[in-house]
Amino acid sequence: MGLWDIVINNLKRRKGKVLFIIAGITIGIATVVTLFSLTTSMNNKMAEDLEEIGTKVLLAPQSEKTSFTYGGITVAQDVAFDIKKIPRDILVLLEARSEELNIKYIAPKIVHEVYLDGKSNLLVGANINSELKLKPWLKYSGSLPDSENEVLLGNSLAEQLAKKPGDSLIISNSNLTIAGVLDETGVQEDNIILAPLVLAESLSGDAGLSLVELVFNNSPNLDADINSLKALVPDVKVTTVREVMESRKEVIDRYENFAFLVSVIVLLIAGLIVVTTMLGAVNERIKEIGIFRAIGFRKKDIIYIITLEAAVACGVGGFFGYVLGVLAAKGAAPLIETELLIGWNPGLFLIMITMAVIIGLIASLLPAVKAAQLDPQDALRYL
Amino acid sequence: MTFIAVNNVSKKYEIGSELKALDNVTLKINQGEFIAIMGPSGSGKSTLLSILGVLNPPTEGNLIIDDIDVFKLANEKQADFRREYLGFIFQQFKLLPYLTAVENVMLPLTVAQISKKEKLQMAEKVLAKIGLESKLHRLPHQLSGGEQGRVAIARAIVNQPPIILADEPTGSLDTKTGQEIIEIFKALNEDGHTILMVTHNKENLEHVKRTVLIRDGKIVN
Ligand SMILES: Nc1ncnc2c1ncn2[C@@H]1O[C@H](COP(=O)(O)OP(=O)(O)OP(=O)(O)O)[C@@H](O)[C@H]1O
Ligand SMILES: [Mg+2]
Repeated sequence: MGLWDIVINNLKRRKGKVLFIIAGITIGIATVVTLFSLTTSMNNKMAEDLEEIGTKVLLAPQSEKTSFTYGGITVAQDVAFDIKKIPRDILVLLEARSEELNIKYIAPKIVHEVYLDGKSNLLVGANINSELKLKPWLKYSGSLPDSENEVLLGNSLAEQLAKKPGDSLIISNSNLTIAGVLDETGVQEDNIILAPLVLAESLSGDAGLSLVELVFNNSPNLDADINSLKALVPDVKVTTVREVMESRKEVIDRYENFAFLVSVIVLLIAGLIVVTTMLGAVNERIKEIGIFRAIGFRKKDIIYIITLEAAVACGVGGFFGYVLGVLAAKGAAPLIETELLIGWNPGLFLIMITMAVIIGLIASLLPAVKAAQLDPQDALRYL
Repeated sequence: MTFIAVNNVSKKYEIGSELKALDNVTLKINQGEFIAIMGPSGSGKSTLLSILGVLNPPTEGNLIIDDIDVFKLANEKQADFRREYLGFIFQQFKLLPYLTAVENVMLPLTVAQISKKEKLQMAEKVLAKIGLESKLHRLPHQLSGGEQGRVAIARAIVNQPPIILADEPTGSLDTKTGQEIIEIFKALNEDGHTILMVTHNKENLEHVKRTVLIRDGKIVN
C-alpha cells in the first residue's frame, strides 16, 4: 500500500471519468500527431524532390513584352513583333560547357499559343523523355509520343475537350494524334499540350526557343556555377527556380501554422476537459481526502495522488492518441499528396506521451491544490 | 507529568458570533490515561476532540502535546505530527469502502518510508491482535458493524501512536458489540496508549479512569 496503489485503485474505481479523460486526450494528441505527421512528411517530400531534381534554372529571352507564364516565370508571347526568341545555337554552347558548370539536364522548350474551340491554350514543345525525368511527378496514361505528330494532353484539357489516348486533335490545320493523357497534377501541366520539340517548332514557324530549363547538380559551388552561366549567355534572362519551390514551401508553411494553431486549441480543450473532470472527481472525494489528511497525509501527498491520477490517465490517452493520429495521417496522406510517407516515429511517440502527461499534470494542478486546501475537519463532516 | 495540555482553549465557528463551541477549556492529561468525554448533544465534545486531533485550530488558547505547541507547527508538520502521535477512530468509523480491511489498516503507513511487505506485516499483525486475521481481504460492507469498528481501531493503532482519539466508537453498535470494542480500548490502554473517547454511553465507563463532563462548551467537573 503506497500512494501509487491508491492512484491505481482510484483509476480503476472511476472508470467513467477516467475514460472521459483518456478520450479527450486521445482526440487532442491524435489531432496533433496527424497534423504534425502530415506537415513533416510534406516537408520531407519537398526536400527529397529538391534533392532528386537538383536546382532548376530557366533561361528566357530578354523582353519587355510579357504575356504568359510557364514554369513560374513570365515568358514573352511570340505574336508580338519585338519578340526575341533564344537562338538555337545556345544549346550547343550549353552542351559544351555542361560538365564544367555541373549541369545535369538541358531541356529546351518552345511555348506556343494555340486555339482549341476558340480558347487559348499553351502548347509546350519539349524533349518529352527528358521532360518526364525532370518532373518525376508527371505520370500519364496511354503511351508516349513516338512520332512528330503525336502529343500528350494535360488532364483538365483532355477532360474539357473530351479526348482520350488514341483520339485525334486538329491544331492549325495539322492533324495530330493524342498518344497519352497526363495524370492530374493540380498545376499548370493540367492544361497544356505537351508536344515533341520538332512539332512545336513547325507549328510556331520559328526555329528559336521560348525557354531552356536547366538542372544543376546541387553542389556547394551552385551560385558560382550560375554566375558563370550568366556570363556565358549575357543576352538571356537567367532565373533560378528556387522561387517555385519557395511557393510550395510557403503553402506548407501556411499549412504548418494552421496545424500549430489547431493543435494548440485542441490541446487547450483537452486540458480543460481534464480540469473539469478532475474538479468533479475531487468534489466526490472530499470525505476521503478528509480521512487522508486526518491520518497524516500531507498536502503534497494529496496533490501527488490527484496529479498522478490525471497524469496516468493522460499518458494512456497519449498512447492511444499517437496510434490513432498516425493511422489517421496514413489515411489522409493520399488525399493531400500521393507518395507522402507516414511512418511510426519513436521520437514523436515519446514526445506525445510526455506532452500528454504534462497536460495531465498542469490541468490537474488546480483540482489537486483545491483538494489539498480542504480543511480536514470540514471534509470529515461531509457525510 | 502532563503529556497533553489544553490551555484556555476557546473555539468560535462563526467569526464575530458570540456562540462559543468551546469556552475557555483547560485540561491536563497524563500519559496512560483513559478518559471519557461526556455531555449533551451540541455541547462541544467533537469540537474538543478535533482540537486534540490537530484538525481544528482553536480561536484562543493553545494545545501542548509532548512539549510541542502543535498549532504553531507549519501545516505539513501538523500532518506529520498527526501521523506520529495520533490515532483516530471516527464516528461511523469512516473506512474507505473500496479498500479491503488490511488495506484500510495500511493506509496510515502509505506515506511511511518502509517496504510494502513490512507495511503488510504490520497491518496483519494488528488485525490479528484484534481478532480479525480471517477477514483481512473483506471490503468494509462485507463486515459487521463491530468488525468495522475493529478495523477502524486497527487503522488507528497500526503506526503505534501514543494517543488514541475516538468519537463515539460504540454509537452505532449494540451493547454487546460496543462492550467488545471497549475491551479492546482497555487492552490498548494497558499497553500504554493514552485514550480519549467521546461517548454517550454510561456502560462504557467501566474501565475508564476519568470522565470529563462538558456542557455548553465548558468543562463542568
Ligand atoms: N463546522 C462547524 N461550523 C459551525 N458550527 C459548528 C461546526 N461544528 C460544530 N459546530 C457547532 O458547535 C457546537 C458544538 O458542536 P460539537 O459537534 O462539538 O458537539 P458535540 O458535543 O459533539 O455534539 P454531538 O453529541 O451531537 O456529537 C454546536 O453548537 C455545533 O452546532
Ligand atoms: Mg459529536
